[in-house]
Amino acid sequence: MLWYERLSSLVVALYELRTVSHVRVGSGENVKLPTPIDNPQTRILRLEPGKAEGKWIVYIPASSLHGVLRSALEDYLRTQLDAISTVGSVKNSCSGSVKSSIDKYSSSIPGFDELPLYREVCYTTLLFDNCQVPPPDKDKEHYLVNVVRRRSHSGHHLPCFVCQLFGAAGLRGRVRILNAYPSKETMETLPLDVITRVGINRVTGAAEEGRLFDLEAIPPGAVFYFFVVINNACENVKLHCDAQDPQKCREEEEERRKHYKERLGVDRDLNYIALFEKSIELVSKGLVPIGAHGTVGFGNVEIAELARFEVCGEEGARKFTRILAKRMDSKESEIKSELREFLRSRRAEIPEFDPNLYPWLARALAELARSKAAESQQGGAGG
Amino acid sequence: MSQLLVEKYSIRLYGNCSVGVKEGVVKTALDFVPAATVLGAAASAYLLYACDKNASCYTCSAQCPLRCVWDALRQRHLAISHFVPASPQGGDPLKEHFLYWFQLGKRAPRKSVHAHVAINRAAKSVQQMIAAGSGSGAELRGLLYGDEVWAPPSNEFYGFLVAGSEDVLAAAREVMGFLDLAQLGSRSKYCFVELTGREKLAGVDAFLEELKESWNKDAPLTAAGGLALASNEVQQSLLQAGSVKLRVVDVKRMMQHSHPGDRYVSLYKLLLGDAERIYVSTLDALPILRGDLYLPKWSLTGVPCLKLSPLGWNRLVPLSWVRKYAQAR
Repeated sequence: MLWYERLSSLVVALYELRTVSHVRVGSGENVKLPTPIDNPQTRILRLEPGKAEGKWIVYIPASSLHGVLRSALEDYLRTQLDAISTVGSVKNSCSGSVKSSIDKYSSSIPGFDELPLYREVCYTTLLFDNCQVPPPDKDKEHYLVNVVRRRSHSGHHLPCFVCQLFGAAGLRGRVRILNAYPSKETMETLPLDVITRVGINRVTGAAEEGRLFDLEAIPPGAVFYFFVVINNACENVKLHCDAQDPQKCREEEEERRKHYKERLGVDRDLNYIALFEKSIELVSKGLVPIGAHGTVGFGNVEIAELARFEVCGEEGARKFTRILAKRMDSKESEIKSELREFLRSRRAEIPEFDPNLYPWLARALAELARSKAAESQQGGAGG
Repeated sequence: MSQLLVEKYSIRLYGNCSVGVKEGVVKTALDFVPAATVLGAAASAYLLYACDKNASCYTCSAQCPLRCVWDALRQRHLAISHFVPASPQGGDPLKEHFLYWFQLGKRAPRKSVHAHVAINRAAKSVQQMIAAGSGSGAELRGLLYGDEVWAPPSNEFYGFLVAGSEDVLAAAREVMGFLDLAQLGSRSKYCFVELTGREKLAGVDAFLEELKESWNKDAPLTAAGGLALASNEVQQSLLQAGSVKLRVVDVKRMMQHSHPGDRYVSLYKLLLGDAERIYVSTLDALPILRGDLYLPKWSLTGVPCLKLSPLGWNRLVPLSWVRKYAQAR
């Protein structure tokens, strides 16, 4: 299946992430970081130019952001949409590798048979239900196409909504995310909290010996910035097909699209940028915590979009990429002025970024948004 | 090739970037960016962002810059070097590039390991898998894995495009212009590329003359560039000064649509120590800085003719020249 061999739209956006509680993304036990804490916060090494030594910068990894945004959208779809069935009720209609995989989970996770299954969203970590392109064997293909009915017009497997946006095994996602770094000004001064905890013995009610530990966490109020590129963002989400007849399937599609928009609270078209914005909104409202200790108050953040280049339509996409591709042949100021027509600026205050950590496109977006804000302020003052 | 046009390209990578191979639970990063990776990333971005033909490249008949690049590579009118870390001391970029392979291991980019753990969507906890046994004796293990990534600004690399004509170079330039939008390396959804520089290289003729002066039939040679994509091929110790005898032990057959019968030799394979050794002095002197390299008299494995790939820009250079340049630095 050709997935998106051509670009018809593009969104390049810059987001601000503000912590509203402690946030902790651990580094793992065996990674050597310059801290004596038992459970250190992850950092990225940034070398001084021309030197072998450098500074460890606190950051939030792109993979954590990607995972949380994806997980938030998965949860939302499962909450808003109706389950197609449960594991227990479909178990007998499966065979081979799918059946043995279900049996393995059923024997190790209590109540697994009651797990609801959805057509629009898969469980990425359950081997029998996750989307794979192409399905690895006939049993899995039968399960995906006929049991959970993730079927395209042509009768083949069509990945779930979330996998269409964020990718699956064998299918590259549309979303690319950069690590979230602090601004240039706060990069080296951002403090970390050290929190000491101890395990309590449930019988004696006293501190348990050997259960004292400390951990590092980003304090509330810290601000990070990350950059996102979404290919074919304005393309409509591909819906699954119920009917055997493709013509009938297309006729029903409009009605079903309307149904999904109502259920998911999407005002505009049901496209990939709408799903991505929904996941940003969910994380921002604290529904899904980032990082560790989410059940004890950690990981709440607010995310706000600062600016974006929005390119919808094939002609615009071609123009935008042509401008970028000739960057080496033109003056930077000319390129930036050409990119201005795609700019949608939402916030006036965007700090300076470390040029070693953000690519040219992110820096250009921030700079254009800043200058646009300054121009409108001058215009306002003049008026 | 009637003339040699050399253009230097510099790239910088942002985010957690690496090109590497998995060893256990950690994906290790190479010390350079292979030419095939750079070209593949640029070509992939070109196809997505610039190509408006709704057809596969194999069946498309349009004459586009990418087609021109493929044809030039097949005909050995274009060669692309691996991208090596930018030299902190500066110096002549061409000579530094050759020296890099001689000093591989000593000039490795700084790396750090980033650990990841998979979260189970159903249990909302660390994903665990049953590693061995069953029932009460089952061992549960977290799906923890790590990526070795290049630490900024060790993520600055440069390489060369060598073309036989301006037309070919212009086509390659257009394709490489899409590197800003390209996805490069492993876990590329978290990695961004920026093309930071492009310049025509002057003084190539003088450099060739300098190399020729150090060249004679019995001179020991050392490798510059290579086809290695797997770290087990990189035998760093053999590339250090003092152990520079080239040893041929293996030939790597590579699949390529245009040349199904061709065999390619990896210079890293040449460097592996083994009982079956022959010294490079038995080989004829090779033309330098050209894509169509032949080793006609080499017959250890019964292969009458070996071609080195223009991707990776494999070269053998006189050891004496490399040493002289290293000392001069």
